[in-house]
Amino acid sequence: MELFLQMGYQMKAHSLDLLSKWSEGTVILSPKNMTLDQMKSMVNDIQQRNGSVLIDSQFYMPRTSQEKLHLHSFWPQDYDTNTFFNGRGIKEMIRILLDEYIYPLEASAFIIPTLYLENTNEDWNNITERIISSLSNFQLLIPKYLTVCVGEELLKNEESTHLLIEQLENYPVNGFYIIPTHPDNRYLVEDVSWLLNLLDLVSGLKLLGKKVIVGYSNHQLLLLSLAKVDAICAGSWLKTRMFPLGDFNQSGDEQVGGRRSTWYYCPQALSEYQVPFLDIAYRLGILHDIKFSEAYETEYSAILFNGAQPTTVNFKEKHAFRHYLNSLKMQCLEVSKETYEDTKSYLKMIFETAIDLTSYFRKNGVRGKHRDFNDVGESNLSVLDAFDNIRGLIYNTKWQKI
Amino acid sequence: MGNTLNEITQEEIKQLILKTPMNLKLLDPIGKGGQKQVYKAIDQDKDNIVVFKVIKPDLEIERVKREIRAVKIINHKHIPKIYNTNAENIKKSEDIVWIIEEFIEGESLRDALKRKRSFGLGDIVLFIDTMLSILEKSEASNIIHRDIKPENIIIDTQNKYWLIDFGIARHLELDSLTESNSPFGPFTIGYSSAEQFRNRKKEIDIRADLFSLGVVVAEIIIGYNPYLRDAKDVLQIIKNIENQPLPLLRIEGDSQFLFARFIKTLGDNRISRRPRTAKEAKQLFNIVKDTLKI
Repeated sequence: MELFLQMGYQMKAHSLDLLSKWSEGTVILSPKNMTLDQMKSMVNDIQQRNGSVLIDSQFYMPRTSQEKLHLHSFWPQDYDTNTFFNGRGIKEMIRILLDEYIYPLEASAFIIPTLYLENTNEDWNNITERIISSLSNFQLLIPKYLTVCVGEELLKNEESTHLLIEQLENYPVNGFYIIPTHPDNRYLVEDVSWLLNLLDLVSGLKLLGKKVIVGYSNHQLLLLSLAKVDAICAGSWLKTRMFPLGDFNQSGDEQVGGRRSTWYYCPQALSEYQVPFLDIAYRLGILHDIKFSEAYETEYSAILFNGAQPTTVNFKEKHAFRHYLNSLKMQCLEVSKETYEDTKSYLKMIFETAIDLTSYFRKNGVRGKHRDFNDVGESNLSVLDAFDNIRGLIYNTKWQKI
Repeated sequence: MGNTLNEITQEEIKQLILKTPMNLKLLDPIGKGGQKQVYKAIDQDKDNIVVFKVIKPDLEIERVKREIRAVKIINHKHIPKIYNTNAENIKKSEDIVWIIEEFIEGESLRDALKRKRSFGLGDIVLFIDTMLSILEKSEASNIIHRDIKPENIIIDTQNKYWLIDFGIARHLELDSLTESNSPFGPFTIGYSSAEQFRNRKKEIDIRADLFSLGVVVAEIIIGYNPYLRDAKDVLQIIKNIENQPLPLLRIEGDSQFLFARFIKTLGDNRISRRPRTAKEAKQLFNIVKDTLKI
């Protein structure tokens, strides 16, 4: 399982720094945050660091999306649902995307644009089929991944999720780029049905032999490794770690949202803590328990544990983001095991450890607020067992071939 | 008693027998519907018991042709062989199809279940092996049976299993005989998968048969069809199938519950969770078999 970097606001410097550190990596470029010229410049920097790019055209809600997207040449000037997909509109859009973005920027695959899917419906199926059939006009030498940007209600419903899987089975593509909308706009998801259906969706597509990338993800979705997802994508701000539906279904510029504060990611607790809470840990003498393990040592967050009170040291937002993404990258690599059973056991172990640790931290007054894994730990464990019940037998026997 | 308009008369049957290449003598009737009659018969020249079927297909002639074609193409040792068949025009009325096929001495699985015959783990394993072997061959021939149920399974006198009646088989390489906008495809309630009875043709493949097989195996083990039990009407059965998975079964000799999970996987109400092919199901079953104490 890989971690792809999801571009968002002020993400460029973080991406380049991390790619330099990793000497490889994939970045998903976001037209919402960059002009074509900026993308070209960044691709050059990425390639110098042995990285590769994908381009998500972010065409989920074309009628209402942000003005910055409208400035891109591929964005249709006259968009009308009735005629755009029936006529030359979609074909022209794909042509521009390929000729001006995908090929010049040397994207490793073509992420096929589709509309946001609130819930299963025939209209989405028909439009998506038209988009795919319009691809036959182009000779593509790179893999094709279909965007599946799904609403929270769909993912809460098992029947709808399976109708979607059955529909997606028909599409002649190499993979899928899934963008799940979180329920109730929650960063960490407690809803077991949503989690299980997402895992089920990924596994249904993986068993078709397709590549599956899940965009706008955070560390909770390490559990998707049980379905052998190929990659999850995350970035700096929360808006790149959970799909910001609101940014796409209304006009206006992106706001970072909420009060800015610096969070430290504790990988073993799968939780993030604001630095003042680390001061509590410091006072109670348990800061060393929150410190990342040796294997995760980075220059980004070591300063927090050098013996000084955490709020007095120079731990900045950029360090927090890079530490989070670097830690998550390592967790993604670690979580993929040789067998299904080993992967399940490992996931169970890290979830149980995180629950125990967060309980211990809470008892000492160290709380992760809405980023505290303790609130969702039982849900993650439950989903592991439920998935094992419904897919375990096939996954156990086919693991090496998936 | 008089015949209904489309019923085949005794006179027509006598004339049809004369048109067959065998020296047939009818014995007992085995089954009878308005447009179809089935007899046990003897080929007097070879002293061989056969099945003699006569069908007045009306507009369904294509289905009958496809049934015959399916049996011939699959050509499996546990599907009764068709020796001879033809369509005849008696008294210049509509065509009547006659079929002479292999007779299997035994009883249907339905009759066995009715009389509460007990099935050991070895019997169930043999049953699944036989059915998956048939489905592997039919899958290779692009044919889906679509009507696997206890009525269409024969247990012979050596306790071997046979699959009969390809009457609604779907040939994937041929045009469907069911209208695409029909809300329901041909199916038997309680044994057909949701994608089959919802007539979602794009999704219909061998996994529809695997679902039915899973339900039949569950019925053999627990003695009843879990989707039919206590259901008040057809709509409730449909709802049950669309919303409830098969129960996890407790089976003696299956200490690791792998066999139970295999059956649950076969009969999963969600198509994407079933084995993708009969071959894959067979491979899975071979692994599970090794864990059983038979």
